[in-house]
Amino acid sequence: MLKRIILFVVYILFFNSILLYGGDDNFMKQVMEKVHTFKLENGMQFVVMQREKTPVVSFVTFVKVGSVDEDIGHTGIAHIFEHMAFKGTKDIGTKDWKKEKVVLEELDNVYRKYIRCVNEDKSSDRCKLLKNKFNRLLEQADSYVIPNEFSKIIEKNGGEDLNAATSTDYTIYYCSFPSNKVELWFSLESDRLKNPVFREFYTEKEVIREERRMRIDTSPMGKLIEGFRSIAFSAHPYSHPTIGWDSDIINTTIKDVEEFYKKYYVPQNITIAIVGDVDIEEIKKFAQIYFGSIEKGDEPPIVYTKEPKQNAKKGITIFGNAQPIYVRGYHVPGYGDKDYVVLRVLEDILSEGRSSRLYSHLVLEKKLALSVSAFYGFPGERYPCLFGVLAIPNMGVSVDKLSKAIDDELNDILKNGVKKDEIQRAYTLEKAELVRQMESNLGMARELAYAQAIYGDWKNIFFIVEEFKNVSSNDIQHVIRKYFKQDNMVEGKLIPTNNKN
Amino acid sequence: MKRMVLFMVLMALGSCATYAPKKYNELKFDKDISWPNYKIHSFVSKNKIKFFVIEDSELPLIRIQMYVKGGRSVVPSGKEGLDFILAQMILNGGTKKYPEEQFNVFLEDRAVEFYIDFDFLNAVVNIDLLSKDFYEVMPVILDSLAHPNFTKENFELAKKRLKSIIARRNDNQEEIGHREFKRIVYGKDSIYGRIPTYESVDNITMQDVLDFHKRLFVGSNLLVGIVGDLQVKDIKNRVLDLFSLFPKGQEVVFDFPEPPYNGGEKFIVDSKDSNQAFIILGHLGDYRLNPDYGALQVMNMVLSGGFSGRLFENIRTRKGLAYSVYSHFGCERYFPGIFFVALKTKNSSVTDAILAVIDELKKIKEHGCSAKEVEDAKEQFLNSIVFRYDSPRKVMERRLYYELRDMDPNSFLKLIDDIKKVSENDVSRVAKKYLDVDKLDILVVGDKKQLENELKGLGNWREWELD
Repeated sequence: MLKRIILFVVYILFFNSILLYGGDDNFMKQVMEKVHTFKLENGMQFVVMQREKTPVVSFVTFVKVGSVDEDIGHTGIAHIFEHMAFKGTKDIGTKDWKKEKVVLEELDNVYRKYIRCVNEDKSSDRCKLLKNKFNRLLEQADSYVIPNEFSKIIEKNGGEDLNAATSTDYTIYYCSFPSNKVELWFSLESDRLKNPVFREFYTEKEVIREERRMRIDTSPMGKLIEGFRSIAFSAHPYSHPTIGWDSDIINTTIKDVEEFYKKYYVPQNITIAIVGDVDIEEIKKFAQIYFGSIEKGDEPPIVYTKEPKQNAKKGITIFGNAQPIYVRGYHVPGYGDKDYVVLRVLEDILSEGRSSRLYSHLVLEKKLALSVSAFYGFPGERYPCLFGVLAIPNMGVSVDKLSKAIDDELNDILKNGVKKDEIQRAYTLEKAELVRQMESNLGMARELAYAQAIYGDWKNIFFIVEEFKNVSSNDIQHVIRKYFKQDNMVEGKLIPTNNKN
Repeated sequence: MKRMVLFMVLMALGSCATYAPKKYNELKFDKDISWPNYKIHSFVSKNKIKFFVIEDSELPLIRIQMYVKGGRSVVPSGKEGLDFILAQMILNGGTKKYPEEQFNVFLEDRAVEFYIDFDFLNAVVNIDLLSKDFYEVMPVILDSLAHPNFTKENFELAKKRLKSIIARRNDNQEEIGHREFKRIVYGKDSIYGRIPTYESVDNITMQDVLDFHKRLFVGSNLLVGIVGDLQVKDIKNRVLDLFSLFPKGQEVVFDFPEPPYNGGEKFIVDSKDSNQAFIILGHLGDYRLNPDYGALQVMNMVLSGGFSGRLFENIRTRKGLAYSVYSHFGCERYFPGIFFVALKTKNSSVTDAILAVIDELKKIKEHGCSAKEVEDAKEQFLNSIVFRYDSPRKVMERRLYYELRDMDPNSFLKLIDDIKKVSENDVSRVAKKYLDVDKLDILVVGDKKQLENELKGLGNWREWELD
């Protein structure tokens, strides 16, 4: 173990020297000099990149909690909290917080009794009484609300890109402001992180259930992917749908979400990235003033469950009123494994661009697929995950024929290897992608926050790509041989309903 | 260690004394925000191409955007889909020197992004490259655009791809809804409503592709925007030389018919086994040069501006009826745009949602809106203007947009002035004048059987057949 750490340290230093002092890469060097990091005493991390070109700034709050951290019975809770983060604070969005708070507490008490009642005995009069009481309290609670005040303040002040997203591995909140409103962001963001409130909770859950119907129930791709991941993992929580199962959304209470918040929204679990026309000293000052007072909490729980070896080929067929789709995945390690970079290179060689293997062979040459893409890191990469291929067949092409063609492509690499040019091209494309990312403050901020929180250091975005150059054809063949086996594979098919019989 | 603690205490005291966290309403923003004024250089070549250049050396990138006037609107009737076929054949064919796969390898070895999209008024060609490769890459790409390597095989491939897309276009409720609503309002076979069918794709011949290419890709028809790490004085002559391979040709002249308009109809598209329905309702919008354009946009912001609009507040936040609900008052330069409100809601609340939306439209039409709502909407727009200038690419795109539509290049500045002047009376006036609640077309994409009872109360619904 120690040896590995030493190796890792040497390796970081080595790349630092190439990138920062190598000379050929002046541009990257300039970029890296513009990024500053610091950490508050409570553990909250900041990554700041100065980009003075235009007087605008993008902010990303990255919380290392996603659906992978959820327990059975509470799937979707990370996403529910994300929605609640737009409901204001003790000062914003309410006519009278003190009174509102009392009603909300009573409301949730009644709701907890009510859901227990309906889950046990739907017909009882007691349920009805509770429901009536709940409705009365709900009306009362709503009378204190000033709807969307938090978001309105941001938008009125010229805030743009206001939104948030929950994924398997993390939750992010983001927006951009004209650069004279930096302190406004600090004030609002720290307020909502410190003082979340759960007003309009039950109505918002209905909004989320509509979101679920939109993204999953009425979307053929959504249904296929939800089914696919749910069978891919038998033990590991990567199987949970990020939006949550409908019944879990219904049965989640304010109390549940409060407990979730206390566990995971601790400062050492939060990384903030800021990119734009800012003064780094001023940012440090505001960070201390607005976020420094948050107390360091307990370390958030981690996922102990390991996905056991699969030992079987698994598959799911979803029927829908839609044209066929094919997806397959293999269990592979996540970030931090020695095969990580090799798998990233393979992903690019298979489907990055029109010259990639799957595109040029299956789409252009054999005319089997309308589109095809390899993906690595599904549904996340904090833990062992899937490497897969998603393919949309052309009209009249069966998913089985397409699946066979994908096998042929993988076998061809096993037999003949890949060309040096292909690895070089993967490197060139990824590197250009890094440059292009810098055109957008928000995109850059998301990238920096992600790398700092998940990879442990924002610089790893660059190091990973530099490492592409050391990957060989043998390495690629090795990972295919090691992971791409029948008993390590999961298949998903969407088949039109009228083909059911 | 002791010293360290003392230091920290002092620091903490110091910052408390001089600076404490402030609430949002205690903050003052006195710094003025100005935005960079990117200079646009322009010149015209002998073959009548109009060039626009912005120098921007921040990143080692150059982006070339070509607007090809004409677009989908000039596809001959009965040949719908020709635009897609042409774009695919250029991309997949490459040049005589770098045919097909070699073309893609040449471009991607240099991390070039190259794609062509057809819009209604124009095609957009996007070329994104590292500035060091400009002179090496541009001759090859321009050759592929001026002298494409059209092959029989790529012709068949493009047709196959288009048919596969047609087969899949009815898999998504929202996609169906937006597409078919346009066809309901404009007329399904009108120039604005027509879409490719298997039949129209079969009708397309290789000669059609050649003719279409010949008509569009001529100098008089091209606007070229170049943004990035270059100096105009260094590149101008080389650029003129590079682009001289396009013949001058004839400019496409826009001439659009007034759309036939009835309105007030209710349609349902059957999408089986769905527990949610997509609802879209509205009518014809107006023209971009209408002096009321600014007031109409403020009206739309009051209805649907981000998290702040009335629809979001009442349909989503208060009633929990939808995840996303939005409206758009479309104004086009050469023909009327479309005004619509769209949302998705569970089957059992479709009627409630439709009535709630109509109610919002009636409210703003009959009672206008408050001075505060107009002020908030204006502030939102004016405070965020800097984001319309935050990259030279956006500035260039806007310039090309106006140029294509033969509009004043300063139209955006004029819009800012117009919006500053909009009052609540203006918004009330335009809401009264332009929203026609009795003439709304309504389209529901959902499970017909499950919705039958739900929709009864709203009157007669006809089934809308999909192509």
